[in-house]
Amino acid sequence: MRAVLRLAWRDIRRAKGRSALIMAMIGLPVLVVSALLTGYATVLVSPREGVETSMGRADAIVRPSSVHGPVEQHPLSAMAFHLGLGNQPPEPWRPEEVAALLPPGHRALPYQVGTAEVRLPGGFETLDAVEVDLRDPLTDGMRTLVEGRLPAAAGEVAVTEAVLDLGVRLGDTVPVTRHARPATVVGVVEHPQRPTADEIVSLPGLLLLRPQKGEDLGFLVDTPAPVTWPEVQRLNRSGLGVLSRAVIMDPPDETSRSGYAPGYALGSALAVFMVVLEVVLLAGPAFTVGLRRRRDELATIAAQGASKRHLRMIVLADGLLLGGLGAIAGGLLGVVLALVGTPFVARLGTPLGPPEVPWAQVLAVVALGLVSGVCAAIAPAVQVGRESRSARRKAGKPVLGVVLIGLGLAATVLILQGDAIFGFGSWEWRALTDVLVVAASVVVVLGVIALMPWLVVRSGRAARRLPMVLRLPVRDASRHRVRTASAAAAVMAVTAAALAFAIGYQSNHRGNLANYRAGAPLGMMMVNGQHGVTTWERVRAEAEARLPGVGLVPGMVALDAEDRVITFSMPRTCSAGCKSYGWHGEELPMGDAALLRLFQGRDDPAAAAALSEGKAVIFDSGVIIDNGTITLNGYYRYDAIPDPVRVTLPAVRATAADPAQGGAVLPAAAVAAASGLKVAEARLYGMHVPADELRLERDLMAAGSADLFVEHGYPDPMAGQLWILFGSSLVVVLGGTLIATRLAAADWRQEQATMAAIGAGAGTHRGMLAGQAGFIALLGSVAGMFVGGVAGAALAISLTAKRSGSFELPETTTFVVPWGFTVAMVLGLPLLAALIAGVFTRRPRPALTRRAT
Amino acid sequence: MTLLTLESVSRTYGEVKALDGVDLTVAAGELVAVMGPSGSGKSTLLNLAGGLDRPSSGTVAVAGEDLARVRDLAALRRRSVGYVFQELNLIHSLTAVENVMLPRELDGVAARQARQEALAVLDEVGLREQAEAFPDELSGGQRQRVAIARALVGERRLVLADEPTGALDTATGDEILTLLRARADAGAAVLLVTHEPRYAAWADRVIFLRDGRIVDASLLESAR
Ligand SMILES: Nc1ncnc2c1ncn2[C@@H]1O[C@H](COP(=O)(O)OP(=O)(O)O)[C@@H](O)[C@H]1O
Ligand SMILES: [Mg+2]
Repeated sequence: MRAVLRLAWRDIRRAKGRSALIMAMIGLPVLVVSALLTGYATVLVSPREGVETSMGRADAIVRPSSVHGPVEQHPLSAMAFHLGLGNQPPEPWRPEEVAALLPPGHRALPYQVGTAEVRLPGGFETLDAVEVDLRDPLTDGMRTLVEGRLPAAAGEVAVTEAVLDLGVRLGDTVPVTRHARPATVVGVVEHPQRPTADEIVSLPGLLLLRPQKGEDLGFLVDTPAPVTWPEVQRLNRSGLGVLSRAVIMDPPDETSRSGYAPGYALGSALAVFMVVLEVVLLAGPAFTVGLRRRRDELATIAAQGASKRHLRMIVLADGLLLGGLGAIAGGLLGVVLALVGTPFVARLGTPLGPPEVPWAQVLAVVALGLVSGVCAAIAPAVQVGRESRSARRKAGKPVLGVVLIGLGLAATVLILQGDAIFGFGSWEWRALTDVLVVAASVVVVLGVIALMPWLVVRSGRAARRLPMVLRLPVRDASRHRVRTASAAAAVMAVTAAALAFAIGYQSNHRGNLANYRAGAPLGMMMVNGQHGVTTWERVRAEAEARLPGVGLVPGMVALDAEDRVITFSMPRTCSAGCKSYGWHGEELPMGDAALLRLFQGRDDPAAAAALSEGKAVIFDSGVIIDNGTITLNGYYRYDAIPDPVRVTLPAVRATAADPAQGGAVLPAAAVAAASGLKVAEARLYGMHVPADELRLERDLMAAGSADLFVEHGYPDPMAGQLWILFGSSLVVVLGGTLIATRLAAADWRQEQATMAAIGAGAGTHRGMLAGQAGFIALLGSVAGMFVGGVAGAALAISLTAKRSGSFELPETTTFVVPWGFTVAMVLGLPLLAALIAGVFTRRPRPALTRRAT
Repeated sequence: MTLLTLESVSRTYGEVKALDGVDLTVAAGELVAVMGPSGSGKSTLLNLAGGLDRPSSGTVAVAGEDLARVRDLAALRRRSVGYVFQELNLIHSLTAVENVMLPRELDGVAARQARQEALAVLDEVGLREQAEAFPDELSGGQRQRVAIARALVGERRLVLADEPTGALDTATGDEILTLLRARADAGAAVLLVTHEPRYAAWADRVIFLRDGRIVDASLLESAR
């Protein structure tokens, strides 16, 4: 064994270029993955690591839900969700009610978090707001005082360094919230684990304005005994969400089962698998060349009495050494890079926990790199074992491949039908189906990889009918089937992954789009005066000055006795399957026929007549009109109002400008009459998308507190990711294909001499290499198209089911094939690979002029 | 009709004079054997005759065309010259018939017609049955016959064979020689390099090379 390793080591040193290439191919993925793991572990503040900063010395954080009723929560989050349909209007909690539910002998310190708007020299900024008395020892460890003192009186605040960077100085008085309450900056504090946080801290009652919604009301609680998980669940039944120190330190068993944690683990396992797979498929052929180069040497060793097993050991030792060196170097470099890099990354706004190297995971990745190096060396080593010539053209029986493909497909069907067949019906299962579908597709991918040599040989046979320029490369490729099959398999795996993702993603997006109900026609903007009539004239003048020729149509708002704007929304009779409203769709517009025309995009005399008769014009087909009437809920955006406003109006249906548009237009006079509220103009609508929305909004805000809303339709934040996907596939496809083509060129050299003697020109040589590259890439991408298509379809089904929120499989699945992307992947990349291989080839050596004798 | 003419052809590789003032003509219907010790310039002679290499001085003409003036030597090789080497002469990924078709296809002949022509020539060399076999499924003699078929396909008149029997046993070598002889009798000019005197007997003429020069051919002539 020592002799074998020494031999491999010598060879590595002799062929430095090749060895470096292989090591890089193995080491790079290891580097990336271990850097990610280390960086993630460092950046990640685990609940345990973060317990001090989140609750100081308290035993628990208690957050009442918006409704008095049973709620459900994750053990590691105080966010609680109602059970059942949350159709009841929110009822604010009184602190005494909360206190009564907590164990006797406790002490509760009001503690609320949310966001607050602050007017700074540069305009309005939204900051993370914390309301708590930091002087209380219960808060020890939550924030550190850097400068000045902690807020001690009602109008005082402390801010973080990041806020100072926005232009605030210690001692300044800044207007906070939309009510522009004055607040004096008395101190600078730091969040120990989020150095870049934009935070503003005050005593309760200054920054946060919506305690009625529940999410902003909360307490730090000091209890005589630790708050156990059963205790948390008891409080849940009364409507309190609880984050308990004891539960964080010792989470209950269900913690790992609920939520997305297993999905995440499986997802990253799949990512690692893909990396290893690509390494094996790409580095394998490189080992093959080395092997061919060493054939003479191996023959000599064999002549000295080495058995085939010995020869295989020598080649494997190659993989062991290169894989080991590459993987260890990659792992170490990755860890170092991550540790050095994370403080810089944290500057960009991520949290920063204590430096932490997840050694077990990094070691696992290094081991994977090593294993993939050895795997990559195995194929050529096996080849050494059976170097019989006639075996080459035998296709073999594709049993393994077919079996794996069958298993993968069966698993896919089973997973999708799992609920129906086994009654898996649970959210945990649903959350996992898409990951499981991907896992099943991996089995299919493995099957196709196993099938690839057979496919290569088959297509070599089928090449008989091709014209010579194509036949030659295809035949040559299929003769060297290890090289060709592994490169084609690498392309296949990448193509399949990219297509599955693209199809799944596009289908999901299309589904979301179909479920989306816009509040206004696409491209409509609204200026909304926040304070009703008080500042409206100024806002309106500014808007008209800034938007000449837009054709702004005024809209009305309802005002209560204190001149607060009351906005109306339609009752939602659905819960999970509800179409989502975009924009301010839940705050219905109120106005005349001109406004209606804008929302309908045309004249609709019938609807206009109904509106003028005092009927609400409803666009949303999902809203139930009961007996010709509809009941609306009115609310004040910034605060709770003592008595809920309800208005019942006659209503008619009409079609809106866009099919995806919901909402309604309300008759102002009728709303006023029915509710007893005043109505006044405080909005402007227009069909216009401002070039710089943020700036316009800031200017309007400066003129007198106004919001700007623009209906952009359903956002597509992932569109760019398809291109990233395409780009990385491109790298792998071209890399793999061109490596294989280089090998082909090396093998082809001898036959090229014969070709030249027969009378082939340089063009044939180029055509040969271009054809090889094209064939490898095309074989891979077409196979990948099928695998990716199936996986994508399964993913689309799974995502549709998840979206519809039902346990059953959806009857119709939104299935979208991104054709441009598919064609680019399946045809474009092979063409590109062929082109590059054909253009960037060395000139063939001149025809042989020298023979052995 | 003279198919190959060499006039005071020399080829030097640095210091080495591989060929030194060689004059040679080969006419249609003639089989000329070239003999000589290793390193005497036999292969160089064949390479120059086929346009795979250019002479340092002197002229080479194939079918009356001065190769120095031919711009597309590859096309000339496809149409007029057929090569047979000792080894490494078949494309391993192509079947026998596809190997034979190759020069015709390179010349732009439609695959279907090229295949027919190739099958006809394979028939001539007695390999019709093995047309769809790959080179590594054929015996050495069969492979060499395929190479000869490829050198003959498309009515090529000049056949250059560099030790085509080198790797073959006697009986198979005889077969190959019979084929070349038959081809010469059918009107081709065949230039055959061999170092086995017994094959010289099949030739119309034997020239003897030593250190790049033709040694008096008549001596051998009389020796026959
Ligand atoms: N490409 C070349 N470069 C350098 N020397 C060459 C080359 N080809 C042939 N020679 C030299 O020319 C001489 C004749 O070679 P060759 O024609 O191959 O002889 P033969 O075929 O009779 O054995 C030899 O000395 C050989 O070394
Ligand atoms: Mg020679």
